Amino acid sequence: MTNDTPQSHGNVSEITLVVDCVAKSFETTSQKTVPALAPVSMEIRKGELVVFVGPSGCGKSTLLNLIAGFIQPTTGRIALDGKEVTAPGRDRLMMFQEHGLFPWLNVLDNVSYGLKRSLRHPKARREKARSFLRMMHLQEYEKANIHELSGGMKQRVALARALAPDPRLLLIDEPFSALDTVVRLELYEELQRIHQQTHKTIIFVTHEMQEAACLGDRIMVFSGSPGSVIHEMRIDLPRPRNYSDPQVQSYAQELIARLKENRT
Amino acid sequence: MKSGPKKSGWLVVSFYCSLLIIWEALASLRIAPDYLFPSPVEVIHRLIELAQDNLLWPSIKTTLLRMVFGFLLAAAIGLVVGIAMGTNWAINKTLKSLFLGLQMLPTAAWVPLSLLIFGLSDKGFYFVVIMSSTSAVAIATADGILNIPPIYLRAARTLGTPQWAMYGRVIVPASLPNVVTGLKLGWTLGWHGAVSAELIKSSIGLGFLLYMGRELNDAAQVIGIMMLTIVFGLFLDRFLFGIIEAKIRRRWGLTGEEDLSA
Repeated sequence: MTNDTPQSHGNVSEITLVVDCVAKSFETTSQKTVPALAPVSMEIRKGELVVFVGPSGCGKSTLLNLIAGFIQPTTGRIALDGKEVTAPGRDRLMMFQEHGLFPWLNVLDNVSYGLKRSLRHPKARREKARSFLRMMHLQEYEKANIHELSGGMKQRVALARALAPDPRLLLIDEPFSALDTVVRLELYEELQRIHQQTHKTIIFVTHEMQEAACLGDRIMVFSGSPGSVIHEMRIDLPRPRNYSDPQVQSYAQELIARLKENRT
Repeated sequence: MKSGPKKSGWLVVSFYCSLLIIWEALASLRIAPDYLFPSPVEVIHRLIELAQDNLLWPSIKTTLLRMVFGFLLAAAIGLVVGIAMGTNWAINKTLKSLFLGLQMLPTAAWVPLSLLIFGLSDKGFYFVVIMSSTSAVAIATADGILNIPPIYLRAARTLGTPQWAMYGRVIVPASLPNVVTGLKLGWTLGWHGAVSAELIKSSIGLGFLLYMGRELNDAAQVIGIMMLTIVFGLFLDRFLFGIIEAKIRRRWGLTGEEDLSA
């Protein structure tokens, strides 16, 4: 337990993810090196819901992919619970904008897919997967094929699939941007409820300020090219928060103001 | 598809019935002598005769057995080669051009070579079937793998799938719709090859009965065996692959009405 920075809502927990001076540049086909992410450092505590927000091309998704291990940093180091990140793994599960559910498996088999290593018996896997479907209120759809589900239900199945292997860190990449408003509002509530129930450490990437203010304990504002963190903001509002709450809106306004400030 | 299978079934049945009626009517006009343009009744009569002479069923059985065995080999080779092509850029680039070139050959063009190499032994049939159908299976499998949406691979990796398990758990199932299409095409081409080979180098089989019909100047036998060749080829195509394909389509929602991107 580290006690150096007391958090405003009282509970102090240990640091789980360390991002240390991480930068990333990509090689283009013409052999030019294009920097995508300027050196970024941050620490994320256990149970925190951190939101990366910023315009497209600001490096937020790049950093998420680096943390997931899909790409390797050009410089710097990422460590989860002291272990350096070198490849994708089940301790850092990622949930995608385009759900990425497997169409050749039904709902239940999709959710139990990630449990192959931890649970030997198919029966035990199915039982555990069922409990996560219940958490998402999807227990009646376990036999359904993926294409039979609505967009919102697909994302809830994807969330159940990502939660089932009990990752230490859940990485969520703009999962709601393709959904309509009513479904999105439901999922904001759902995600906050899941976060409070499971105390998962979550990194959530979005370009929408109000979504960020509604969901995040802490917001990292990304901007620039190459991208970097230009501002960090803590949101001290009780949960569950309502997306259209005036206080959420005023936080969103402040985030927008910070971004504009940085541009001029 | 939406009008319902019942209705379309009736449509197809009445189409074939009218086709038979037109044929019978044309034959009864006797424009050409009956050994050149037999009526459907004469064709069926000849087939019954062949069956009574105990020539028909052993031939059908022989062709089917040769075909099934040759096709199983071809499918196994095609799948393995296709997976190699789909996962290795250089193998795909080189083998695909070779296979596309080989597909320019009519399946019957493999028969002379098979005669030279294998003589009259049954291995020659398997050779022709394999050469006819392997490339179709391999190309379809490779295309299926190369067209897997990258998100499935990313999702599988983030869910902790080890590299060795990727093939069985993700790559093969994700390319299955394409693979089945390739198997169907391979079956059809292999069937062409098997019957062509029997035309030239056999003393039994559907192709042999075709050849015999020509020797005997018996158009009724030729037409009858041609029809049986279609019927048995299609029958297995529909029942073997049709069921698998329908199952995959239902699971994936590929019936045409649903939007995959939604």
